[in-house]
Amino acid sequence: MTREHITFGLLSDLHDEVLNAARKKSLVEHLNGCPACGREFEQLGRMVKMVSCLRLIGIRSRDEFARATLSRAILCDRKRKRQLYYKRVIPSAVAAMVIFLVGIDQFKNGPTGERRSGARIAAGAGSGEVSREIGSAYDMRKTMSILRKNRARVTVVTDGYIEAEAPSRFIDDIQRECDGSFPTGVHGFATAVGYTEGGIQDGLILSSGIMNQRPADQSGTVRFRVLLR
Amino acid sequence: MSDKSDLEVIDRVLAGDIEAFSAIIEKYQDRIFRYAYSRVYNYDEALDIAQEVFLMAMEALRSFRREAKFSTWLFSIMVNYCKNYRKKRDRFPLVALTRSEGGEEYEIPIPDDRQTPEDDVITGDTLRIVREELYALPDDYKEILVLRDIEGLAYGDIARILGIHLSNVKVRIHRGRELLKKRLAERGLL
Repeated sequence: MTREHITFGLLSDLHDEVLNAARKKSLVEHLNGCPACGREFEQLGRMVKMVSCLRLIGIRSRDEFARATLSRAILCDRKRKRQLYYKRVIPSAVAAMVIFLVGIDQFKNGPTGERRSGARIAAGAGSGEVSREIGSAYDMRKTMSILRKNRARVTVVTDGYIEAEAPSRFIDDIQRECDGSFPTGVHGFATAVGYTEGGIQDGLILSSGIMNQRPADQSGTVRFRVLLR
Repeated sequence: MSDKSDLEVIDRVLAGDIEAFSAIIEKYQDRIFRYAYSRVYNYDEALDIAQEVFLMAMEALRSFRREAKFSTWLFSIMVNYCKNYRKKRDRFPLVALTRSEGGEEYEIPIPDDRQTPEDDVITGDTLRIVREELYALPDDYKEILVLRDIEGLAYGDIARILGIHLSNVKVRIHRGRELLKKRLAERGLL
């Protein structure tokens, strides 16, 4: 038997039986001969017993709680499955759409990106657009420069020609500049103002003169081809 | 239900039989509720927390790696949820052990289904005092005494649930019991 009183920590360990056999035996011997430690140990046991009685606290309507929780769990599971479904389907749908659009583009332009002129001209005629051919007195670089200055959007470039789209009011300028009959540094609104006095004839190679144009074409975009020198 | 049957239920739930989860709910609902109640000291909030804990557990069921007992894993979720809940709300002062329902307040009854004569020594009033003093302890001591002395968990399980070292578990249990014993003695129960 040890002479000193047992610490509360050791009593607690002894109560929970987390000590080794030798230590436990030594403490039990002390408790048998020490009323103070024995009383302390007995009070500890009583307190733990009282605390453990609190496990009688519980949910009053257990069945109702279980039912409600399960209902929510089922709803959550459905929501999760729906989200998983959309997570799988949406990327597939987007991928399919991209493939479809790329396919359409390939069909229209061909695998090398060169447009199928026959198909396009027919479409242009059907939609009211005007197709033209313009002869250029310059090489490709110069011609591209002229097109850029006149707000043309180049769509196809080959060795022999350039296809582009431009507002119809710039077509005369492009024509004149490509012919070399008009100074290439001058373009834009000055000619556009002059353009309102007359018009251009669609579907033909234009001369540098002023031609009549239908009012509907004035605000439209003209698709044309510039034949390179 | 043994832990083995817990795993069987989990397998059924993971296979798509959500209804099987009711077995888990019925088995653990009181334990989850008791812990939540010790943290928030409010019946309705404890019910809400218990429900959320079960939903979180079901959502995370696939991440249960079966290295520890299912009850330990479930209690870890519960402890973390309660911590976050308290951080979020940043309140839960000790309030009277009453709640309002239908305009009138009433005390939460402690079911008295004790059978043995020895248990009959502990009266309802005694339990009420013990509960008050236990819930008035600092959080560190309170949660560990709830897990150990009420739920009867082993030291190792408590260490895993709380994420602390085993020696720390022992120290907290010693200090918590010592403090509680002192307070109960002051109330004349020891």
